[in-house]
Amino acid sequence: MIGPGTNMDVTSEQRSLQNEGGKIDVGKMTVKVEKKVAAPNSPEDVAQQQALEMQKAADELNKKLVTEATTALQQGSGEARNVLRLISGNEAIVSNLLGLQDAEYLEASMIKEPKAQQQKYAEIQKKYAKLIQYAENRQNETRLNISRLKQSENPKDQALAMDLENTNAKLDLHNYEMAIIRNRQILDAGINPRTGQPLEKELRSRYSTELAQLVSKKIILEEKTKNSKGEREKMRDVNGKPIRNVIDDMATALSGEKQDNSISFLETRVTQALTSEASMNKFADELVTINVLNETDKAKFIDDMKLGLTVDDIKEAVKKGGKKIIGLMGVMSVILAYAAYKKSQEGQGQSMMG
Amino acid sequence: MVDDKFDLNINDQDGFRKFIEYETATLIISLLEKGAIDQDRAARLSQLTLDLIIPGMTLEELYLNGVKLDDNNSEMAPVVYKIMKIYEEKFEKKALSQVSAMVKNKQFGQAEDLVKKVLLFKINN
Repeated sequence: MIGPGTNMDVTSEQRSLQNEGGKIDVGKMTVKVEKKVAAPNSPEDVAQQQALEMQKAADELNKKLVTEATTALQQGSGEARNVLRLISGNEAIVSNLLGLQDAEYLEASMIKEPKAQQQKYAEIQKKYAKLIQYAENRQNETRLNISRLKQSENPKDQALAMDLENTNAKLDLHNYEMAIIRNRQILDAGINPRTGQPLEKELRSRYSTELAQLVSKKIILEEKTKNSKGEREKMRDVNGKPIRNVIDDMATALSGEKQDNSISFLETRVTQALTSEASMNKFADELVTINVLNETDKAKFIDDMKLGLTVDDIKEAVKKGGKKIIGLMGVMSVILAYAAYKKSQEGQGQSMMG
Repeated sequence: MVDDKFDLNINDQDGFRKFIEYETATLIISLLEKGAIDQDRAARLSQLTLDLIIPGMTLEELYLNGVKLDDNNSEMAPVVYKIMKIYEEKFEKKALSQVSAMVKNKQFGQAEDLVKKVLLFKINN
């Protein structure tokens, strides 16, 4: 046995480290060491033992995933999308929402009266199920509109699709990073984040698996983003001129000057907007003025931006988690979804400022 | 028939999407079970499906994105075959008409990729 956890725990954490390095494969290691005949208790022998344990645990994880996925597929006929989500791991935004949910559960665990505590748990569960649904719907809308923009042969539309995709990726990478740090902290501390009690074996296994998935998804996204950055820089419009970045344009149009970090600026603006109904209306008006939002979509946009929460809920979230929490809640993807929608309707890829 | 579990009809774009998701999920689970792919690969293939097959897409969009599932992922070829077969049979769509539409819209690169797949499918049937 290696370390304080079970075989599965150790393997999952090691697997995540391997993923970070991106070089070692669990299966290959086993094949390699099986060919060697190591002397008993030699370093090779220990390495072989460790590799066998890792392979065994990886097989166990595979079996567990197959069983869970098969059960989910049989239970929810026609809802195979959920099974694909289960296999691929959570979206970045969902991972962070689950972190926020854990923090609220921890607070609820302090409630002494059992009935009141159960009621609070149920409220939290309902609230986050709704939030996750909202976040996933926005992700889907953004993806759908980006996919439509990509079909166009107009380089401006393709550049816009790439800008939206890259911004989404930057937000996701940040979300993955936060979720990875959180999962590592939980595993290192060995404390159940929902109860403050020692982490149960079953949960340790869950967090380990999640950690491995998050690290893997982050690496995949980093590779994808790196490739697309080069492609984007080469893009030119029909007159051979470089095509401006739509997110930078949006930030410049809103502030009246060029911003060093457009995403951060937009997150700050969104946070301010979410502090009252009047600020939200004003922000939506500004987006209409700079040609990001259709006048007719304003009401739906404001509703979507709140992610189904009240202004008080949002203020409370910002108070607890700081203004970055707004970005983590996926509000930025609402703006991206609407920007992509408006531009895909326009069809011929006009620039943000018309 | 490839769609025993789905009662698909011409107006049912959501049904077509669910059909593709079901077939993909079933294939990935089966590959995992056989040990033909590991968890990382399964996660990549699942994420690719979630990125390409999106709720709200039209039948044509689902078809055009669905046939991209096996680009650089030969494991997904059986699903692409089923998508092409059902698109031809069930929705009475002629896949080649999609190619013509792309050429008319000057989407030559995409048309070239699609025509290769459509012709291969037709040769094998």
